[in-house]
Amino acid sequence: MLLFKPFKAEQRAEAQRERLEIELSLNGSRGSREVVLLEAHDEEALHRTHQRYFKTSREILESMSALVSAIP
Amino acid sequence: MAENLTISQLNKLGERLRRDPDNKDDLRALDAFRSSFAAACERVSDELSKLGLEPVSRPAKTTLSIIAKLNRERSRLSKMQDIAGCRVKVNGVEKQDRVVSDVLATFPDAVISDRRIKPSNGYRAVHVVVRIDGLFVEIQIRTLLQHEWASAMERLADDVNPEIKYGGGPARIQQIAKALSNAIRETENYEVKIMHDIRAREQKGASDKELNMAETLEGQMMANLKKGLQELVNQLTILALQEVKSRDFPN
Repeated sequence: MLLFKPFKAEQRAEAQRERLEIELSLNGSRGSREVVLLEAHDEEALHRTHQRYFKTSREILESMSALVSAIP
Repeated sequence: MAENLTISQLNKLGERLRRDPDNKDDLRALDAFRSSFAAACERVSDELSKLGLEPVSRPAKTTLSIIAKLNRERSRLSKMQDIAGCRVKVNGVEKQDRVVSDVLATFPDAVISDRRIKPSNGYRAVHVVVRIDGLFVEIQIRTLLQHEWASAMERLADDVNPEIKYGGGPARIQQIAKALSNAIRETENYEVKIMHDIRAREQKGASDKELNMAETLEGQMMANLKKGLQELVNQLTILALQEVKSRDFPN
């Protein structure tokens, strides 16, 4: 399950604070949850470079298959 | 060292987190340390944007990843060079080489780790580590195919077994994934060879007959490489879905 929260560039400190709060609340479940702060020009760029958070294994492998098919 | 922690204090923090990853004071200290990389990471990201790239940055490695790395490699927190990082995707190996040269021109003291030559459990990319105000920022430069492979393995590590990223987990998945990584290398290197040969033929002023013959041979070779790649992607997909399903619906 993915919980996604966007912040504006000027909200970096707030995002860092929020990340810490979530980290501190993960008592005992740290091994199965990951809190990550990423910065990108837009959300689409995030999806391109960090597919793992947004796609299933099957979707990533299908996207790889499509990329191979597109090789001239 | 950032946030007034000495190297020794930082390493002790890493040791404590390894033993107790839920200690709130240590998590706060780790967060302060990680947050100190934000400005350096932003500077690197800005420079990459100036090069016409579209970097996505991760100013601070996740707690999960830091603790896993401390445990896996018995490494020291002060020695980690990937606390902060930026990732860029480029189209092909020639472009990847150009971007590496551009990054080196921007950050002359940067250190290159060419994992195309020395892959790590099949992972191929070029990593460049730059140092800004004493802080390391790792730039991952991946081609589209290298990136798809890495993304698939990262996601399979989440879904099937975290050890998949480090050469462990189901043996058959490792075998196919490594074969796929090798096939990607062959295909990408052949693309580079074709580009070199086309330029050489242009310079030489090759005849139409020579051009046709070369293009036909190159087309056949590329079609074979593409077919091999597609077969391996299909095999990996079938295996991956079987593994994911067996974990979602165990007998």
